[in-house]
Parts: sequence; C-alpha cells; structure tokens
Amino acid sequence: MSKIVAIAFNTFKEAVRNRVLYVLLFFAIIVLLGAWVVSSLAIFGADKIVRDFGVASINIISVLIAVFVGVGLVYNDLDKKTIYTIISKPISRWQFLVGKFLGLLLTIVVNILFMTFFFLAVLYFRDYTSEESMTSAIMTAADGTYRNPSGAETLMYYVGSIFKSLANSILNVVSLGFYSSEVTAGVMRASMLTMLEMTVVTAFAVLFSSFSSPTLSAFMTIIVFLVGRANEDLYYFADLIQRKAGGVEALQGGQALTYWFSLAASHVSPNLAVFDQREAISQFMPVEISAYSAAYALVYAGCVLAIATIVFNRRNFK
Amino acid sequence: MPPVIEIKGLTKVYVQDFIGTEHGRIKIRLKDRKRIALENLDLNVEEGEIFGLLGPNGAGKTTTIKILMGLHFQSSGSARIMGRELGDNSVKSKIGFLPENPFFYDYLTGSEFLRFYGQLYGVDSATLKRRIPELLEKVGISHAGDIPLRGYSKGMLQRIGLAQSLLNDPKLVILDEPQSGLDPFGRKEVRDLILQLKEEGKTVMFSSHILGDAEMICDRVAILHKGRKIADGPMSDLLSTRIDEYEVAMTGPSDALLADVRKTARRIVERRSEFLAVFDEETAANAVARRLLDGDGKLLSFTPRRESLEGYFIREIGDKRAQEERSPGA
Ligand SMILES: Nc1ncnc2c1ncn2[C@@H]1O[C@H](COP(=O)(O)OP(=O)(O)O)[C@@H](O)[C@H]1O
Ligand SMILES: [Mg+2]
Repeated sequence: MSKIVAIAFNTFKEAVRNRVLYVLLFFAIIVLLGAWVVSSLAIFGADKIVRDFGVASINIISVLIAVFVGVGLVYNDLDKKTIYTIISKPISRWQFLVGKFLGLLLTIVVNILFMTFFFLAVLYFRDYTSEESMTSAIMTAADGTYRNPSGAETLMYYVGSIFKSLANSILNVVSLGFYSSEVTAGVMRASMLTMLEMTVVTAFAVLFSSFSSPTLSAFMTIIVFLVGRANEDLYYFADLIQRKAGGVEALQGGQALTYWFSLAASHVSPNLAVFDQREAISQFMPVEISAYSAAYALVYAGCVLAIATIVFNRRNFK
Repeated sequence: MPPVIEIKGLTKVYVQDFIGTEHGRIKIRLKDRKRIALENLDLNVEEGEIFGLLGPNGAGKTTTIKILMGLHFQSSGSARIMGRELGDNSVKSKIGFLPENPFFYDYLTGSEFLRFYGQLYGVDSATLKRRIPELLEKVGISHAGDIPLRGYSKGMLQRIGLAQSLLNDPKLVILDEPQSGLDPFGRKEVRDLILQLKEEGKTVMFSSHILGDAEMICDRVAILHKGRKIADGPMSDLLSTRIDEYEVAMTGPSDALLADVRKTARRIVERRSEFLAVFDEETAANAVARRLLDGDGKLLSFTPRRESLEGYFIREIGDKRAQEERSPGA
C-alpha cells in the first residue's frame, strides 16, 4: 500500500509540473469570469445562466485535464524508460498502474476543488455586488430613502465583499456544500459528482495510455467520454429504431447495423449520465449524490483498471 | 550451493509491430519483422562472484538482463533467480538493478529520488535517512544530494543510478553497462565499487562492451555475439587456454644459437644487431633464454605474451564472421 501511495504522490508531483495543466486552469478562470460577464448582459435568468455555464465549464475542463495531463503520464514512464527502475523494484505492475491512477485522480480532484472555490467566490461576489444587495447595504439612508454612497464607502464595500466571498467560498468547499447560500446551492455537489465522473474517465485515460501513444489515448478517452455522456440516448435511439421497424427481426442492412452498434455502445460505455445533475442545477433543485453513483464510479473504474493491468502485465517494455 | 542466476535455453525473438512509427512517419513492415535477439542461452551465476556479460553492441546483453528483471518476457527457455521464478517480489527485493543509459524523474533532487525509490523497495524511513547520505558518499556525489536530477551530468546520473541499485542492501546486483558515459577515472571508481560489493558478499553481474573494464575484475565471463554465447568460463581459463606466445629479445647471439632459434621460433625479426624471436612453446623459449644467460649472447627481455581478452574477443568473433560468410544462411 505504501508503495502505491509513493507512486501516487510522485505522479502528482509530476502532473503539477505539466504546463498544460496551467494553461487549462488559466482557461478555466477566463471562462468562469466570462460566465459572469455574459450573464450580466442577459435580460432575465442571469443567475441561471452563470450557474449552468460555470458548472458545465468545470466539468469540461476536468475532462480536458484528465485527458491531456493523464494520457502522458504512463506513456512517459515507458518512453523515457523510468519504468525500468520502477518495475524492477519489488512492486507489481498493477500497483504501478493504480498508483498512477490515484496520482492523476488526486491532481484532478485538487484542480476541481480550486476551480470550484474560484467559481463559488465569483458567485458570492456577484451576489454581494448585485443591485439589491448594494441598495440595502450602502445605498439606503436611515429614513429609508435613497442616498448616494461616497467613493471610499463603495470601495470599502467592494473590498469587504471580496474577503467575504473568499471566506464563504472556503467554507462551502470545506463543508462539501452543506454550507451554502441560495446562489451557490448545488455547485459544490455538482463538482463532487464531477470528481466521481473523473474517476471513471481517468481510469480510461490510464488504460489507453498503458498501450498506445498519447495522441491516440487522448482521442479514445474523449470518445469514451462523449459516448458515455450519450449512453442513455444511444439506448433509446436503438430502441426507437427497433420499434419503428416493428421489432428486432424486421431490421435490415444499415438499420440493423446502427441498431446493434448503438445498443452495444450503450452497454459497454460507462453511463456518465449518472453523474450529470445539470437539470437540478438549472432548476435550483438540490443536487443529490447517491450511493449508487459513488458505487458505480468505483466499480466501473476498478474494472477498467483490471483490464489495464491485464494488458500491461503482458507488455515488453521497449 | 545452487546458482544465484540460472538461465536455461533462453531465447528471445522480437516481433516488430506490423504498423509502427519511425522518425514520426507511419511505417508498414511486411518483411523482416522477426529478430532473434537471444538464442538458446545457458548461463549460471554463482553466489559471491563477479560475472561479466560481454559482447559488442547488439549481442543480446541488455535483452538477457531485461528478461531477468521481468521487463521483457522470453520467447522460450527459462530463468530463475535465487531459485525463484522471475518477477517474484520477494526476490526483487533482494536485487539491485541499474539499466543501460538510465533516465530518472528529473524534477526530483538526488535525495528525493533515492527516498522515493527506497519507498518502492519498502525500506523504512529511519533506515533511508541513514542510508541515503551513505550511498551518495559511496558513489562520490554527496555534494549533489539537493540538486534536481535535471542538473546532473551523464556521469552523475550513472552514479545516482548505482546508488539507487544499492538502496535495499541487495544480495544480487545487476548492472547494464555501468561504466558507459564515464571518463577513465570514473570507470576505475566503478570497478572499485564492484570489487567492494563483492567484498561485502554480494553477487554482481554486469554487462560491458568494453573489455578492459571486465578483464581486471571478473571472476567469470560469458561472451555473447549476435544472441549466441560463444564462450564462457573463469577469466583465467579463457585467457590461458588460448595460444600464449613468448617473446625473447636478444643481442649478439652465437651463430649456433641463432641457427637453433631459426629452427624453433615461430617468427624472428631482425633489427640492426637485435633479434626478436617469438615462440609458441614455453620450453623452447626457456631454453633459448637459458643459453643466452649462460653466455651465448645477451638477453634483453623475456615477455610471456598473454593474449588479452580483447584479442580473444576479436579473434573469436572474427572466426564466427568468417564462418558465416562461408556458409550464408546457416
Ligand atoms: N525492443 C526491441 N525490439 C526489436 N528488436 C530489439 C529490441 N531490443 C533489442 N532488439 C534487438 O535485439 C538485439 C540485441 O539487442 P540488445 O540486447 O540491446 O544488445 P546489447 O545490449 O548487447 O547491445 C539487437 O539486434 C537489437 O536490435
Ligand atoms: Mg545493451
């Protein structure tokens, strides 16, 4: 176990040195700030737009991190031959793979936490500086009439809001979303679901990079993610084709091929819709993390890593 | 005592991918996809000895070592280390290994790197704390413990590579070309280190294509060429069973002696008043020397010429090449 942990931490150290990670994080910050700007242009539903956009961005950036940072990690060890001195130590190949997987997952989780923290701070700050909040806080005189705050007063209010936003944002993240306000409800939970989703995606990234080049691995991991997201749709699509034709037996040629392909894809690919709570976020409903989704992520990732081990166990290291 | 390493009929055939990339281009290979890197190798390494695996580049040394370390799988044949199957973790914990041209995580400092690898060996942190500075000292880079490996020279990497192979105080040390990338002084230090390991009771197997390094320290060697073992045995056997020659240099020999020398010597070279005679037989050379000492002339020097491993090596491989040229396809 301690050997797996040693590999995981070293992998983390390696991953956080990857420039791609910082490019993606920078991109995330731009996008999350952009969500705010864009929403302020909306005539109505601004709150909804910001949240939907932000949650979706965190999700997509996490996938990109898993893909572009993840696929290089195992490959680099093979390419640079660092694997020689690791596998020759009293450590099994599966331990190496699991260590790599955990290190990568740790990297992604830390980054999701960072992005979520940042996005929450944006949401809080946006709320504190909204017209209603400002009006009740500094633009109302003692007798209830409007008053014009001084420049210093306004500045103080903004600075105070930044600190309050950061503090609340930390509390929200640390309490795993229990501590939240109306504007931030569900965001941390959605990020936690993204972490579970990334457990599955990362396992695939490790699987692919254990036998193919980074480019190909990245491509395949993205395919798995997209198909996984469309998992349920594929199933209904297959069902629809079959019902239109009037039963499986009636299917012919290309139709039959499409049917079986969609059906197979929906069964083999992970059902990532399990981790998708965009609907709830959008409706300002509570975001649930079911035991089922957690178990699904762990079991699925475990199976993928088992396959990766089987592939990896037979490899000659060039 | 059973051998530490026991290799029987080990064969490795590399089958290249049908489609691969070469210099960034996709390459489809229809022919020549198989390459026999190792053919029916039998080898034993006994406890406590220094064993040299010698041969020119492409001989199959690295392939042999990679199979022993569980990095490659043999096509046929078998190998056991300390009586156990390859890849057994309890055996791996007693082995130290330095690969050819090693590369390590270059963002770690020397000490961090050794700590990480020590953890992989399962060495506890108290022991590591003591052993890491010792090892850095032993391989002569105690000044570089806090420098990231990316700032290391090739020679320093080779040294830290040696250090990591000793983290677990191994019983068996396997080193692939440990002297490559080192200057003559560094080569000598590695030789001394290998001898020191032997003194500590460890078994050492190392490969080299530079025979001078092996010649002075190996108890036994095996010589590989194109995947086949062409000789093995104790160093002294390999050298002494080969034709030795004796060189006698003299000046002013009597006519009678000179006539006898011309009869028994394989070769005689005359330069001004000096004669250089080369004998195959020790007795003939001795007889000539004795007569010179008895006043039949003046003895300048008497040199038994042991054939060096280098010479042996060139000749053996030369023979093989000649044979192959005579019977192509054999
Ligand atoms: N991964 C590989 N794939 C294909 N051929 C290989 C591979 N590794 C080594 N070879 C070939 O096997 C032969 C032996 O190589 P190697 O064991 O590295 O020799 P040495 O270490 O003695 O220089 C060479 O002809 C080499 O080209
Ligand atoms: Mg080699």
